[in-house]
Amino acid sequence: MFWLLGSVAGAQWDQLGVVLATTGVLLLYGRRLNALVTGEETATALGVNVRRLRIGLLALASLLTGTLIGVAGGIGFVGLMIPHLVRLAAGVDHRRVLPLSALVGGAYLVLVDLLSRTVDSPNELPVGIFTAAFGAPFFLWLLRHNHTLAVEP
Amino acid sequence: MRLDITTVSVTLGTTCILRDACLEVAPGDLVGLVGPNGSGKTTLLRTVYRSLRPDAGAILVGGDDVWTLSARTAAQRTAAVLQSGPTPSGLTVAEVVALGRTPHHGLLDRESAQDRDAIQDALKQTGMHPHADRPYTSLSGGERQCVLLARALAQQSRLLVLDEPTNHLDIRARFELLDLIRATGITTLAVLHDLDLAVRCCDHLVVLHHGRITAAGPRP
Repeated sequence: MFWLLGSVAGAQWDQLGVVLATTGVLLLYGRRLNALVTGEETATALGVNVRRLRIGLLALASLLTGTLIGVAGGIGFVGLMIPHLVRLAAGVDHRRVLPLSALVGGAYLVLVDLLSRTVDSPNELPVGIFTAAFGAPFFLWLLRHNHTLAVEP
Repeated sequence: MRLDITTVSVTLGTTCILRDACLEVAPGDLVGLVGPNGSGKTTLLRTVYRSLRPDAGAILVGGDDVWTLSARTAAQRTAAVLQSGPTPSGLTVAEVVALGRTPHHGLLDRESAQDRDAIQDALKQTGMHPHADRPYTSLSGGERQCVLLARALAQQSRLLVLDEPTNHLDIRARFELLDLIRATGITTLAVLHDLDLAVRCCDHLVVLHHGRITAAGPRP
């Protein structure tokens, strides 16, 4: 159950090193990700090595996600929901979207964790139940209503 | 900056798209590339902006083979306005033009006064500065084309590669756009479908057919 629904109960400060380092490096790629929004061909013409960027970001993101899941289990829907919310509120520029997603996502998880500890106190419910309960309806709503984030062909 | 294309051949899958294409563009010239659909025009352009590596031959920009340069250095020399690709939604006109500064930034660089000047100059040159804060998707086809040209100008490269830049434009806007390109004085290789326009505006014309350059010469 721990792995399936996740919990931050076992998280320690000293596990944050990898997370901070990879997040820090990822934050530097905002401008290149913006260029990628124009499509592979144009991004290439803008001096982005698309193949190398893709592989590099995939490796970094895997390292980051793997570390987080190793510590906290699979807490679903946060990564699906928060970047979309941030984009709705702050625009599509990745130089804003990346750091804001990290901050808003962290704050959101703290709040949901608080909820999971207090709803049935003194028992602690798995935090993943709550993120799924909020995230799934949000995602359905997003799929139905959001056309502004869609990229025109 | 001069462009030399020497005996470039490209095969995609089993189809030979380009065969022994040779082409020179002198500094400051506007060269028009014409030919029927499927003749290899876009493929030739792709080799120039370093998106497609030719199977044989070389592309020299300013005397250097583009494949010996990094993607970033190559993009500092060559800017491209392409036909296809997703429309960047959610960005303002100024933000789209600012993307042209991408090759001038390392990972740690922040936007400098030089970047802001280049963006402003490009917006003014193309007449798009009154629309700087409008969403890109709210513009007409002709205005979008001007914004994409502004993005290429903000790149401050010395070679422009344009794939049908006058598509979707009315006759007046076509001439205005090509006049604008001429006025920048930047060496340009452009794919054009409108032959009258090509003959009137280009210094040289090059005809591609079935992947071969079948005719080339200066404007009559």
